[in-house]
Amino acid sequence: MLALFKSRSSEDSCDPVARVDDLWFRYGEEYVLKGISLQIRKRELVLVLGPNGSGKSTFLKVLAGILKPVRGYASLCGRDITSLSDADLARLVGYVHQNPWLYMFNSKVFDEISFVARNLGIDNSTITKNVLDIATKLDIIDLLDRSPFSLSEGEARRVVLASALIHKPPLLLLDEPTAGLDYGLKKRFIDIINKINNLLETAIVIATHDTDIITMLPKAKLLILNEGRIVFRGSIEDVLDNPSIFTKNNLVMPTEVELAQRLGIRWDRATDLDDLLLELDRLRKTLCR
Amino acid sequence: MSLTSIYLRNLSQIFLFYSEKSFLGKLHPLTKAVLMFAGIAIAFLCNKLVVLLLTLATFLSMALLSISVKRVASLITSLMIFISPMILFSYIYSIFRSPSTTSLIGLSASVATAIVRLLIMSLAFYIFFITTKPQSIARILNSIGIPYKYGHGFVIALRFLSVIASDLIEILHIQKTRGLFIRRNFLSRLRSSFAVFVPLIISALNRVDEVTIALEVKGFGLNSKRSYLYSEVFGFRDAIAVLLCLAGLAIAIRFCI
Repeated sequence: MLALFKSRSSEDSCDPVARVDDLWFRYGEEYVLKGISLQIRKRELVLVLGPNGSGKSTFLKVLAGILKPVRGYASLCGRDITSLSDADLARLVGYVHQNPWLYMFNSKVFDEISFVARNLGIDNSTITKNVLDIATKLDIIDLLDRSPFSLSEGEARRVVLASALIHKPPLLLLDEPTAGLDYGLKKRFIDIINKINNLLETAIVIATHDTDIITMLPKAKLLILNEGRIVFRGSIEDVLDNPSIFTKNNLVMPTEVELAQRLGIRWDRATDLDDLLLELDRLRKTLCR
Repeated sequence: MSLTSIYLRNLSQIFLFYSEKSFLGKLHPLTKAVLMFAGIAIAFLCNKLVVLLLTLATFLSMALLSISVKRVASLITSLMIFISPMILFSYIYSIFRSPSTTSLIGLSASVATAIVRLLIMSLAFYIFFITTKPQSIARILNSIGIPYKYGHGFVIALRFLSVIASDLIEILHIQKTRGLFIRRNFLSRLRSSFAVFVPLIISALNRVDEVTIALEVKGFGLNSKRSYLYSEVFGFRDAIAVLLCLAGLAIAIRFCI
């Protein structure tokens, strides 16, 4: 237990949370990551965008310690990823896969959320306190006594997110977190991510091809990955100054941005979907006249 | 990637159709089925190591000519990993039972024969499944009198193995990041296997449900007979290949029995 507290205190001060230098990875003969370099700081929100097969999920798997890089260096809290034990990796990283049903096996949501904490040997009273705390933050307190198999897709994703955050890891990795969700559920889920980013010190990396969430994550640092290389890095404003970057990299322009562009408005952080809809409504009325 | 993942990935690829460009790909599925059964028959009936080694060399050459060297190597590696504990156990058992040089030499000969037999059968199956389209396998089964519902069911089950293996790899990765494999006592590790198999079973059932719906909406199984848009022609090349297979089988049996 003392060792756990010691390691936690050292992780609390870990910054940068993750660092990768000239990272290469291949499946068989084909390289899927080619010379990726990146530093992720505490509380940072990084959005990795890229078309299917660009290497996003592989990059997250390397950061989670699931895959070992064939070349280059990757570290978590200053420690080489390849030298970390399973326990260290579980403590340092929360990993959320796009399919929440591959996690579920307990009879109650409470047990599902507390699973990682139990594996790490955290005591029962701390586990209960943490579960209630995270369930309140993610608005799933009513689900704790239910069976995980009775949950809807959106609820299951929030349960898996809670399970990954139960031990407050310094790094949270989300692989296609909005896949298969409708606009409302997507917005709700991203709002939760923003809330976590404000409340916890955890650095968050989201890998997705869903460009619509860009406008929902105004604080995010953006990376565009294509054919295993980083082809763009910057803020959302930077990418909107050069929107052709989406089409050049087989990505769809975010709906709100495209809509704003077609209406002759430049999208910025202050632009709200409601503003665009009002503008559309004004145009419709003009045309009807 | 862990050894388990590599092993599962290799095994999951065994039943996947690979390419038609090779000379085996151009043969009629029935010819390849004859080739497969000839190999299996020799492996079962023959006891002479020399004949078995010659058969293995033939199948290995065919596999290397029609399938990539890497795929064949990964199949053989996976098989060797799978049987190595059994071989080790046989040696340990033999040493404890009668620790003499003669028995060890006898055991080594038996182990070598068993490995060669296993490799022949594996390569025979591998060549057939990897160079034959799944729908062609279903068609052959149908042509020999098996109702097409069961033929297609068999083919879907084979295809499913690779999907289930992929899911298993993902689940192992996920549960690893959740600290499932942190060293603990045997009982808790045994209990933790639920964390792998429950999601796997649920995922498999969900997939079965989706496949069933997809088949039902296409009217699968409404009639006891069905027609096929494409069919392969049994040509001169196939007749020669079948004759060579039967001749090879006859020669092997002649030398072995």
